Amino acid sequence: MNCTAPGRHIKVFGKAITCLARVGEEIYFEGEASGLAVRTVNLSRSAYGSFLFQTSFFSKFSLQSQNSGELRCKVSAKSCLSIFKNLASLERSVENFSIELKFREGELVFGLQHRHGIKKQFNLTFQECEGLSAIFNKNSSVLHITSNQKFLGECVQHFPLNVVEITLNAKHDHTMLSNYVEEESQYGKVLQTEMRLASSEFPCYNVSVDREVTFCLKELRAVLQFQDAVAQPLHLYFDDPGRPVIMAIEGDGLYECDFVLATLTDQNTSQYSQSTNTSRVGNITKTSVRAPTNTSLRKPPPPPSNRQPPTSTRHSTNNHTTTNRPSLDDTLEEENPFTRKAPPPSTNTPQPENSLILSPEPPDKDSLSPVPPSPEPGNQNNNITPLPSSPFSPTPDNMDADESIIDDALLAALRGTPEGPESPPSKRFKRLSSGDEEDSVAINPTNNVMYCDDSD
Amino acid sequence: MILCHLQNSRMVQNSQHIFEARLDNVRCMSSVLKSVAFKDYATVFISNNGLKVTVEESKCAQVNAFLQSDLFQAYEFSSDTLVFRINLNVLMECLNIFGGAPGHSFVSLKMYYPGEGEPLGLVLEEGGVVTECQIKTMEADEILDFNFTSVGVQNKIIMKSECLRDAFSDLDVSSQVIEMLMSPDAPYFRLSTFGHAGTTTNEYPKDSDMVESFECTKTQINKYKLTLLKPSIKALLQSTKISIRMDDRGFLSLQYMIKTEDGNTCFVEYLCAPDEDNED
Repeated sequence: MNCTAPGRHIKVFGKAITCLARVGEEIYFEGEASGLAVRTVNLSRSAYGSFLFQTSFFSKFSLQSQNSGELRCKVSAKSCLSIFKNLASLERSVENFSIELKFREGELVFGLQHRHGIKKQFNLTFQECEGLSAIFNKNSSVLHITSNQKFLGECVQHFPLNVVEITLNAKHDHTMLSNYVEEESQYGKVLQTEMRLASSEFPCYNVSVDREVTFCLKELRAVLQFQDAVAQPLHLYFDDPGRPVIMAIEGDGLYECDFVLATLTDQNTSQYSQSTNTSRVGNITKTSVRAPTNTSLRKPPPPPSNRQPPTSTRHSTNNHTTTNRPSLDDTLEEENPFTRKAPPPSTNTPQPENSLILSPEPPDKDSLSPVPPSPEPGNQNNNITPLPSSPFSPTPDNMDADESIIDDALLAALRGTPEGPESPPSKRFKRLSSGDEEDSVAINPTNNVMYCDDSD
Repeated sequence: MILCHLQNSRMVQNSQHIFEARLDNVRCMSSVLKSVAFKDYATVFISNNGLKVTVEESKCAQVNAFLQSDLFQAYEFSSDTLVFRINLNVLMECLNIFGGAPGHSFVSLKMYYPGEGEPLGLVLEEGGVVTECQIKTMEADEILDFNFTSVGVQNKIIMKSECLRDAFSDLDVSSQVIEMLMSPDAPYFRLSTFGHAGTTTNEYPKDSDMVESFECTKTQINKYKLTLLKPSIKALLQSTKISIRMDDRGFLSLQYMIKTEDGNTCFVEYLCAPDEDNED
């Protein structure tokens, strides 16, 4: 793969890299027939970002290989970022820049041609990788909001930097933006910020039903920063809580930017829940499916204060359903003595139909195609009623009645099989389940193997 | 050992000092000294031509700042060369005692040295407020002689500092060394670093607008410890032009031309021995 772009495009490209580097620790480069895809997924796999730079973005674009495996690689975000560290001066001085994947040499080469004939070259060592692409479908989302170039960015600025999650409560005539506050947060220690945004502020406001979604602010900030730099409208697509929020920016036919963020499945938001058996499983919902947060940001869980004694199980009908903020780690039930002990064995069954799928081997158009409907729900958790179908194709039954049951099932799906050794611990949190897990471990062991290319 | 002695409003009689100099704008001096102030102690040479302030690092690198006598509004010296060692941090602190930031009114300086073993005296004045400082001096240690003569120089490039600034301020810190290539043939002048993430190269063609003079006779590739070269960045940032020379032993000389606020030109020279260990 070898592509060259004019210097005026370096700002967009550099900002895109900066944006991705704020989300994930590794950046995937992949040459495709339609252009160069640059993607990332965060450690907890709750956020996925993708930039597709069309061939029109480049002055020269050639793939030079038929083998898609030789057209992709991943590099550490940090090293990639160092190239574009001084973007303001690059903007002034770079005449054109090139990206070349020298697969056999094991190098991803960034060439920056400056004025005065000065040439800079960055040869980054890369890791071979499977393709990365989330399967999502913007059109399946019920709600669609478009924000002007600066509007949402300015709103988000009002939230303190330590706010982790933000709640978007869309109503037919306005949207409330607030920071997400745990129910158990101590009084006097929490600052709740709320903003009411009239629908007229949005050029496109397509909210037919009221919905409230909570997702991570960190990734949103990254996207908004990019949006601010390129001055393009940002499209937000979302749906029920627990379903991903999709953010998209389209750049004049030169590039496309898509971000997919997992949202919180929350007792507060699942107002459709019925009481009786909900209160039973509802507790599980709370303790298990929690914020799609990059856990590396989190403190270790403090000694659970308000928690049930160890004997109390999911059958506890206690009203307190939320957990302390740091107790996101409750998802790690094995490690928290205060939550129920061994989870039912079947919760380990991967049920990727219920989550975003990062497919390991994306066929060409995969990234935008809807998830295939789940043919069979897989093994059920003993305590859980059968799964509804994919959250991407909403059906009435997952709207009411058993919202929380879905959550639990979703959790079961997300929890996945015990991970391979490469999984960071945080992967056990709620996340967009990796496509790796679709394949049983035995079938495709190479999927989990990452190795450095030593270029023979 | 070192004493910074401050006294207000006591002017010193100066008739019998061996060395005495007056400077209308102290920032001309402090900005040049700042570019060599990466170690605590410096050796100061005073001669009829001016002051030379030398700082050494690990017996492998040396930085010299030259403050010519014509930089000063008055310069009197009545002896052979004088040498002493001084705490550079204290000297810098004293020079900036009225605040070093530009935009203030001028701070004028009178500097005197009564003779060997005596403290170096500074009298600073800003708008009628006078501060007198006395900084104890020490006997100078022997300093390195790099024996870098123009006869041995194989390659020499003079270029505008501007284009090197980016390269040096974005150096890959994970790299141990920086490799310099100078050659009469392409790629002419190249800087490379070898870090964890990969290699980075910067190439400067000889016909670039940024290159003012290009006299290379032989292809030379030498590596220099990045930690040794780091201190030179301060000088690079202040300079307008840089002369890069390499002699037949691979020793590197970087000379920076620094324009002071009142239009004078000062020079800072950086000398560095090549890194032998990494040459396979």
